[in-house]
Amino acid sequence: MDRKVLKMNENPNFKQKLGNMGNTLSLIIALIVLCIVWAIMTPYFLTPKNLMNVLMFAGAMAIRSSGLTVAMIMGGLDLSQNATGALTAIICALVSLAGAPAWLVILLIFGCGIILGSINAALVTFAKIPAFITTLATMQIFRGIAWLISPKTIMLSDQNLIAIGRGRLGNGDWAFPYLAIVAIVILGLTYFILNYTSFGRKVYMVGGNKQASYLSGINSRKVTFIAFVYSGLMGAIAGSLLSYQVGAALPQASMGTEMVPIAAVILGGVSLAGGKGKISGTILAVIILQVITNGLQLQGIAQYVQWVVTGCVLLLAVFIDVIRSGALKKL
Amino acid sequence: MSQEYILEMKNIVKQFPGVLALDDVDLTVKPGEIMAVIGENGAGKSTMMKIISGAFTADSGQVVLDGKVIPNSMKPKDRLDIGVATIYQELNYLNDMSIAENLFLGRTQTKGFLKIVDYKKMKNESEKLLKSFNMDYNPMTLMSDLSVAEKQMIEILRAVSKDVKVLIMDEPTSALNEVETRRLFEFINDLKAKGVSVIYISHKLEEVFELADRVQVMRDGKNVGVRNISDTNTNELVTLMVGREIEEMYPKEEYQIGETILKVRKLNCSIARNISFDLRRGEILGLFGLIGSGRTETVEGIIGIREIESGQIILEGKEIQIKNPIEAKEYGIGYIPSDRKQDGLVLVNTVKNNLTITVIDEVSKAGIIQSKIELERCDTWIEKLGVKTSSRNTEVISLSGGNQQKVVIAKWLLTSPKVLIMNDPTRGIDVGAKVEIYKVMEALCKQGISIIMVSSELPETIGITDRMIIFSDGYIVGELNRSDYKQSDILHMCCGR
Repeated sequence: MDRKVLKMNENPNFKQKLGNMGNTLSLIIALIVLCIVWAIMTPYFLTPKNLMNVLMFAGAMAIRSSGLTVAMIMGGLDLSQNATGALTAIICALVSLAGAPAWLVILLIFGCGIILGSINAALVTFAKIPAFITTLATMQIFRGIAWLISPKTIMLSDQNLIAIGRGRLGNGDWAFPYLAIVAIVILGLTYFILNYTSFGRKVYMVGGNKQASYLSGINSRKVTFIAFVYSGLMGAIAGSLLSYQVGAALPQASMGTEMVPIAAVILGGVSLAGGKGKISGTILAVIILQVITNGLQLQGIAQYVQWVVTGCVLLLAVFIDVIRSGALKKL
Repeated sequence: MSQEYILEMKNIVKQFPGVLALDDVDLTVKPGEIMAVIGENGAGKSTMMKIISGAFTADSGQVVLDGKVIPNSMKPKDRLDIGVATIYQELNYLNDMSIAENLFLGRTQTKGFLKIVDYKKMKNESEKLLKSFNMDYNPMTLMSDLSVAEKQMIEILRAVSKDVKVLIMDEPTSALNEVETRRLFEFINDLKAKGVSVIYISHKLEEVFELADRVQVMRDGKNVGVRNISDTNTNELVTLMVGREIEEMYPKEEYQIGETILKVRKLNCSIARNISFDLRRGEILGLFGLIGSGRTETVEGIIGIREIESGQIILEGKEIQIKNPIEAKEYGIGYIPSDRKQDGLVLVNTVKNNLTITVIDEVSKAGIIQSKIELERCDTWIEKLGVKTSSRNTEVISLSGGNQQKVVIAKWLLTSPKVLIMNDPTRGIDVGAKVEIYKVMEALCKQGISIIMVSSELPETIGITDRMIIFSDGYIVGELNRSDYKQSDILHMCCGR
């Protein structure tokens, strides 16, 4: 092999770079167009206060989506994140009301997320139940248990916890929500895991071809297991943060929006078949979806219209995946 | 006007990514003749037939039927209507429906305004058709009650019922036993008597001698000879099929073979029974046998993807238990599977990531990939094996078959293995790439790596191995040293017992 050829390719030229970021580029363009449209329709849209609100509300979705990005690149799927979050929030609220300090509650969030995620992971990895069925079932089970523990809303009293959900760094219009900071840290962590760790590499390889990875001496079960635990953990963190934002834990929290993070991840370019995708795409997609919702709210458009729009975006996202896979040309 | 040939292929060229599948190929078929096409795997037989049937489009050249050129764009369905029918190895039928319904598949007879299915008409016509071929079945019998051979004949009947001129059969006897094969041959002769021309693809020479009028031999995408059956013999055809360049193809060199490194003793695993053999350092050991003879099961048992019922595996004097490929890798045993797209590569990922997948933990510190080390090792092996890729970040799906296989081999070389097990390492790649793979194998043995090569291609096994173990029906039936290789003896052993 000619050494020069390799060296030349170490720095792909501008055109190649542009081609590589094809999907990311179209997301950025979509986001800019969307922002211009909303800015024209509502002057309030571009105010710092509103933009910070968008970030705050995008936070929880971003956290869920980063967990889901890992699970879906690995070739999995997780519908149970919202239920995991609701159950975790209920348990943690009860423990907090019983007098536990904030740090212990936060530890408990991690504990709940890892345990509930492990249940999904074990069912998929060892019982070999397809991820869709597994998490569809555990979604109902976790949600049901949350109702069983507390059919009523539990009001929170720990101001430290509530501050994480509602508080902001700094003062004035540009005050940055803590929740968004947590989300940025988690997105950064996920980016690091996927791109720089051996686990992240294995996630891509197992998602791309499980059998070939296994035959190459990769412990594909372990990779699958950890990916589902990670997704569950993110569900638990997001659900708890949402409850601190509201100031209460509800058994029905985030019910009916299970598909939104999935829509975001697919829109962001993760292949439904696994093996491909980037966290940068997920970030952009989450912001796009949140900007759509925010703009519609500012227009005073009713919530059910927002559902219609979200549904259409999901269809569009999946259709884009179909086109990308070249399935249209096949039977 | 009567044509000398009912079907003619003229100067057909077909290129697949990285492989020239057909190189200026001709074929002629006379009316009412059985024309056999023979050749080894990958010689281009099936590609040729798929061009006639319309499943593939030729890059250049013509197919002429009955004096008229078939346009390239004509769909397989329309070709059926002008009289070209193909029976593939995998049959195409509805198992839970009757013979009559299957015979009329796609052109169900209806009556009246409401298009009610006319079972009576279908039944009567089916009966007539079956009778004309001396087949004594009730047309309402379900397909699921028939044997594979009978199903195959029904499928042929379906083709014939549409006034077929040329019938293409792609290794039709591969799933049939002796009696069923007889039955099929009688049937084909009936067809011939009715004036249908048959193109019969096979690699079984005895069938060709029994059935065909003429035979065309294919090798490496080229037509290497057409003979009248009465003017030729087995030896001539084999020589044509294999070619004379064996010496150049297999770059065998003399070097020292070392001590025994791996011993397998009384291994029972799936259909493999009582398997014992030794592997020496720097040796290429061939496991040869037909498909289903137990050779693949044996190696799958060794690397731990198939459960071993009993037996011992002794590596460098120590007995080892391998439960999965992860442990096999730790012991220094690498496995190159036969289906590189399904089992060997993550096609949607890059050359680099596919190469370093086996050593990703080795090139990481505390779980973080040390990209400098990774890139260095990756580039070293791309260079050493001469993988032709535009960059290390190219997706392997866009490489040619030979280069893909080099990636699979290289990813195991990164682990510095002691033993490399290669299952059909040159499957589906063209001759030039094969020679390169053989050269790599030779170079590895010189460095003291031992190779077990599983193959069902005899010329290759004879050409490249130092020693050969012959499998039949799950047992080892013979062991030969390179100096004692004789094609006829080996074939005798693996088909005998």
